[in-house]
Amino acid sequence: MNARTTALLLVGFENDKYAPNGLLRCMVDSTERIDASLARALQFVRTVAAIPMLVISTPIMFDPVDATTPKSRGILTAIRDMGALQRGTWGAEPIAELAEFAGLITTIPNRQGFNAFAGTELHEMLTTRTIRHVVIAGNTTGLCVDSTGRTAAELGYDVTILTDCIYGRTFVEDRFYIDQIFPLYANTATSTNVLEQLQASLGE
Amino acid sequence: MNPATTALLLIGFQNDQFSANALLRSAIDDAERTDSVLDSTLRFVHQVSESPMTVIVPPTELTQRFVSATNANGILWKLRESGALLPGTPGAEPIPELQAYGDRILTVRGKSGFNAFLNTSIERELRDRNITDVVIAGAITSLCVDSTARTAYELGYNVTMLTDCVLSGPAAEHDLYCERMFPLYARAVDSRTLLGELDSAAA
Repeated sequence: MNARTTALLLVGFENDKYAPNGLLRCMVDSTERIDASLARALQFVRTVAAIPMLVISTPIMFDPVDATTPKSRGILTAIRDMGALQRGTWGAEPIAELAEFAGLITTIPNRQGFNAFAGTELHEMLTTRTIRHVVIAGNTTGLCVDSTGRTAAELGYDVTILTDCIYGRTFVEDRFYIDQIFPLYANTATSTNVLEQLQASLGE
Repeated sequence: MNPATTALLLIGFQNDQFSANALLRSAIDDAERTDSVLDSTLRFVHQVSESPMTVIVPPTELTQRFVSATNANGILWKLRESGALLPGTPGAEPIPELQAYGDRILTVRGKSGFNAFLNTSIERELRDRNITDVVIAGAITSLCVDSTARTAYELGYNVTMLTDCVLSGPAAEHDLYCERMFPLYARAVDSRTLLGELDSAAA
């Protein structure tokens, strides 16, 4: 892993996900898990931004749908119907804690679903910056993190999921994905472990 | 669900996964589950073949592109190492039971990873046929089936997962997907129930 060819993808760092009165905190069984993963993710961002390493944020921002758009079912519609993650609202904005890194984080707009690559310029940006390896932090483990991670693997990137910087709806779901699913297409590691690898590569 | 605007995607029904001496059979602990998924799926295909439902087989053919150094433990790398699903080999071909349908089944090539929509013309084929609903069967639940299902959902299709026609690794994985994950972006139902609904609608 080399800091110059590695990018950190921040998946889902919006107010509605992490802020104390975010609309989507209720979907998770433990706010301790949300807060703990956030603290570690911020610490990781702080360290890698100083290297520097490319950090890309991929928030969901739902665009308004008109009445003629066929309404598909499922969780994305449910979240949209709750009023969460709407473009232009507080809930869709990046969390205040990331303001510290403004200028160091590149935001890719237009994500409308689980997969941060679908309908966005993420792949183009990573290619232009000759990125070979993506490291992923964020939420939720079994949806946006998994969809984004496996697409990255299919597009040819090496992928590392930061096991201590993600959260899912339940602890059981987190363990299932970390133990059974992510290893099928990605590396899994703690933020400490990845920092060690990055710092070792800087010494070379 | 109107069969005329519905497409059945049969994922991974290739010789290396489902034939009696398949290279990948040993990756699934319980041989009976492979056979049961195969039987349920073939029964469903037989029934819907009489209807206007579009049936698509996107065979996976692994290419060098997906071998990467640090993903050496990844399933794609392992598959490549085992010699399974190599382009142009009998193991990569759709199983004979599906080949027997000839032109009734549309074979769409280009799939070389998990997601049947990536690098294939499937999205165009669905649009050309005004498809609104996608039904999914196949292997493996946690990989190609789920990747394809989520993409179909994100593209705006109504997605139905046939719970008795998807092949999982461990049984616990099957339960978690059918009960916890699929319902977030699809309808999870067994093939007999769906056939019953299609029959009632046609009557």
